[in-house]
Amino acid sequence: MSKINYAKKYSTLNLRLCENMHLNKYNITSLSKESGVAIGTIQKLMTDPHCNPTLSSLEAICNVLNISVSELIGENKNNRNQNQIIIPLVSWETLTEMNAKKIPEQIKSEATVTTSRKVSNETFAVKMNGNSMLPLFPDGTLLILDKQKTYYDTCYILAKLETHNIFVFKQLLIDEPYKYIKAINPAFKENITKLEAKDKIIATLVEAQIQYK
Amino acid sequence: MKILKKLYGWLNFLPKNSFKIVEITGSTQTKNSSITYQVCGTSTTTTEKPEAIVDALMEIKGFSKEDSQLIYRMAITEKQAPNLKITNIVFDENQILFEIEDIQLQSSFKLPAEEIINSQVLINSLSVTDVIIVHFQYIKKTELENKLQKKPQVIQFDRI
Repeated sequence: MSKINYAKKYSTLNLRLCENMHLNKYNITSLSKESGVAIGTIQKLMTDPHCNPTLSSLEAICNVLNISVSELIGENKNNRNQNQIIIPLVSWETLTEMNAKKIPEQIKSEATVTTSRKVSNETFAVKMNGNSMLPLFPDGTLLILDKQKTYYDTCYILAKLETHNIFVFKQLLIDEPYKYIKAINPAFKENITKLEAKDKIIATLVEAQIQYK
Repeated sequence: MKILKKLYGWLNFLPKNSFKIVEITGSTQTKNSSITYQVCGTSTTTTEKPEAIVDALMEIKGFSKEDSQLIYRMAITEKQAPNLKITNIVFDENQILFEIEDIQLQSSFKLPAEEIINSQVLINSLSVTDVIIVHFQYIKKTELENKLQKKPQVIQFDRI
């Protein structure tokens, strides 16, 4: 007869809330009274590892417990580093020399970056250059692009414009049967380009890592 | 007059200040700066945060004018530096999440733009550049939602 595992796995939020409630000598009823958050919600926050609370209820609880939201829900940097995936970082110059069809197989790792996201083995990174995608993507932002991720309307993509033989990172707009690419910076007035049939969408953006100077 | 000038020269030669900065570590932007200062004439050194030195007004009087200004400036910059910063933006078909890092706690959490905007605490703790990024994304999302709502429905003529 197989043994049933009764041990319930609690989330970081569950454990931290219980710990802080204990430290500040609060029970469910008193915390609910002070914070204005329903008893059921607090009970769920304490016991349900999959609960998805609103920020407003978390803030109300944090105010009473005298802690910040990041102290309650923040994931430790060391824990994040455990699930990191190393991906190659390519320069725009190297990218231009490559055959669009064979990216990222052709990439010889010049440098690497890490991501904690679940990505395919056809993922690579490029560094944002220029101001065309401000304010969301400042110059120097690391763009993690996945070739296997399917593109959708308003997503951000890396495309190759065959007529100019250049790679561009832009927002994709789909108005079937046409596709357009757009620079999101409002300062770029003529910022919409229609994608021709021979132009290729190389990969879709999955993560942007902002680099602070 | 000559005697006075000589005396003034001697006074300048003698050490005026009790403390001097010997090392600065960390960064005010990451709120982990610390100042190592030395008690003049001895090998005794102490390391403290700029804010702590400013609080101890007696101690700041013992520093030179330049050192005092530096300590004040560091304390102010550190206090004004944002507590939170956006490190990553995660893109998914369903939503875009901002990964926010607590600079002091070195921990992070992910939230969508609308939740960040609704929280005054979070907005106040982020830098101006980060707030612009969040606002921009929020406006983009709202624009898209409005556009989708306004999209005309396809009329089925055979049913009329």
